Amino acid sequence: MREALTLLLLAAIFAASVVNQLSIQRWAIWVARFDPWTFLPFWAFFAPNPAFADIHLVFRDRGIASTAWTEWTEVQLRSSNGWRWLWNPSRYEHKALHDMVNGMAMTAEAAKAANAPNAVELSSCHLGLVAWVMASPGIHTSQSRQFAVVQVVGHGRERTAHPVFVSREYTLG
Amino acid sequence: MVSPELALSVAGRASCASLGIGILEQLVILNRAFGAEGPFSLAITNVMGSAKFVRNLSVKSLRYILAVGAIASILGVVLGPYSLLGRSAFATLLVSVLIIRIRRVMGTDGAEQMATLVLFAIFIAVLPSLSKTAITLAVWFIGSQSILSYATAGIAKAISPTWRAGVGISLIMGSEAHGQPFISVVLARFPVFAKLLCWLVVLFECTFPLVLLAPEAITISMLLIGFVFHLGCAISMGLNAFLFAFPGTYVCVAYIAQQMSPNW
Repeated sequence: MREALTLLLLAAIFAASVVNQLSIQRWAIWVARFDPWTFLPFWAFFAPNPAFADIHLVFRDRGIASTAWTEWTEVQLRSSNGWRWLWNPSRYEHKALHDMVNGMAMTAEAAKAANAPNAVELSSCHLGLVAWVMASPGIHTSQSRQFAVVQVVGHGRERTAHPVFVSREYTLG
Repeated sequence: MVSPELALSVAGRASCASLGIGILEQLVILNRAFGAEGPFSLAITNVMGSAKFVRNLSVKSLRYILAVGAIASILGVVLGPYSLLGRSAFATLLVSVLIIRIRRVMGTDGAEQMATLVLFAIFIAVLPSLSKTAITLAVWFIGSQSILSYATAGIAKAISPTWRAGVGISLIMGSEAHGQPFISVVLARFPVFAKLLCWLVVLFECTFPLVLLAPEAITISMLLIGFVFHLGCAISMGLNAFLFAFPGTYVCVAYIAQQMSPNW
């Protein structure tokens, strides 16, 4: 009995894993209802589009008595060092930022197709970014905050940066 | 000859190592990343979909869960999945990892997914008691997931215009998160080498399932190449957890190949 149940369970999970590799949208939406934490794997690493850009989250504030914005400030993420082949705690924060930005990008694509312009602002990924940025310390007289997602490519002199998303203004406090 | 008991033990210990490193890393970043200003704060993870039963877990509670998970992972590596204490360690680690993942919502990767699947397979194979049949089924499951992972990754790259053009690795090396400036410069200077490297990765991943039909020597060679591949990914891209999670499944793959290949 136990062996039969084990076979059934593992076979079902493996079959579901195989289907999960096929990128079928209806399947992905259905699975996400039961597995929002992605225990069911998707094994297409760095493909078909390899992650080549770094994502940076920046914000600027506007004071109570001022209409002028402060300089853009980056939400600092932990950086890695030469030991990252064995010890790499910075990967979690960077991956979280990538997950939220990628989620927002997917919502933007779907919103465009569905002609739903507010969908991005109402998405959980966008709200997550808002919560993250708004929790970042700023100057104590700040009244409102705006954030941007900046894509950076390359190293050293070859480095280029451009904004891929700029939010509306949010009131602090 | 590879036994299913050996295969499961190696996969389990390697997964404990992979998850244990991740748990220790999360302990180091706990206050900052899971605190009010971090990406895994309660405010953010509640918006992103963490389950109700973890929503009120404070940073202090998470520290205890991670600490217990860290101890369990060390015990799992040392003891393996067959002794009573070892089985308890594996079960404890699985519960810790599940709670943390559900609480964190984001930030997971393929290594954590594979290691968690391995732990789950071991959990049902060795609890409440050892069962040779269940152990064998778990080995088949883990080996099959491993083969599926390489096949999927390979096919996804083979159909990608970016990878077919031979610039996939160059692009990745150009990033700070997963790249290396030195390697990026070398690949830019020698584009033919960059293209060759891309195609070698695609070839390796797409042909990995052929270990099921290949002679023993070729299967072992493929698995060794796989280890070198993951070592390279760890060094060049910082994918440290993959170095343990995926090669750890190779003895399971060897067991399946031993059963299936007419050429062993």
